Amino acid sequence: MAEEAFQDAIIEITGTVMRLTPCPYHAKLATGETWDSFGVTVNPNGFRPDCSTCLTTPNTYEDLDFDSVELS
Amino acid sequence: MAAFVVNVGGGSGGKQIIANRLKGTGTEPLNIQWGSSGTAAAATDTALGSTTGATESRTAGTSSIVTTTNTSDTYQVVGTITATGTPTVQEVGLFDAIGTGNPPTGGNFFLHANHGSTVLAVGETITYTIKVQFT
Repeated sequence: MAEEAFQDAIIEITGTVMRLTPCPYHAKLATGETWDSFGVTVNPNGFRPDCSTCLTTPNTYEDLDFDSVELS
Repeated sequence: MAAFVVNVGGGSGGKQIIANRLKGTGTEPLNIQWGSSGTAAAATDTALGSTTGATESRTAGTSSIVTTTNTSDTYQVVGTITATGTPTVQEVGLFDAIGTGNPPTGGNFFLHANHGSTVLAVGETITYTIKVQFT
C-alpha cells in the first residue's frame, strides 16, 4: 500500500534588494563597468573607502514581494 | 507569486534531486540564478523563463538545515547576486551546478519562483533566502 512520504513541502523565499545611493562617482558607472574598472579598493558594502558622499549616505534596502506556497 | 520544486522527467528535476540526495548521490542544489521573465513558475518548468538582459553568473549560496516547525525540517540557501548590467529581475531558481556561459546554463533545475519586478543598476544586489520546509 502506498503512503505519502511528505504531506507538504512549503517554499518560503525572501529577497532583499540593496540599492546604491547615487553620487557623482556612481554616475560614472556604465553598463558592464564595476568599481574595479576604476582601480579603486571597494569595501564589502560596495562603497569606495574614500568617497565621502557614499560614506555619509547609506545604501537603501527594500524587500521583494514573495508569497509562501504549500505543495502537496 | 508562484514557487515550485520542479518535477520533470529524465531524472533532472527538483524531486529527482531530493531522491538522489536521500540515496547519497547527486549534487546539492545551492546555486542561485535570477531571470527576467514574469511568466508564473510551474512545476513542469525545466529552466528559468528568460535570462534576457540578466546575464549575471549564478551564485553558490550558503546552505544549511534550519528549524521552521519541527527540528531540522527545512533546507535553506542564502546567497547574493550583484548586477553587472541593468537587469529587470523577477524570477529566481536553484540549480545543482554553477553552470557555464553568460548567462549561465547547465545543471539540474531544483526550484523556480517569481517575485515582483525589480530593475537594478550596476553594483546593486539582491540577497535571497530560500527555504524548503518538509512537513
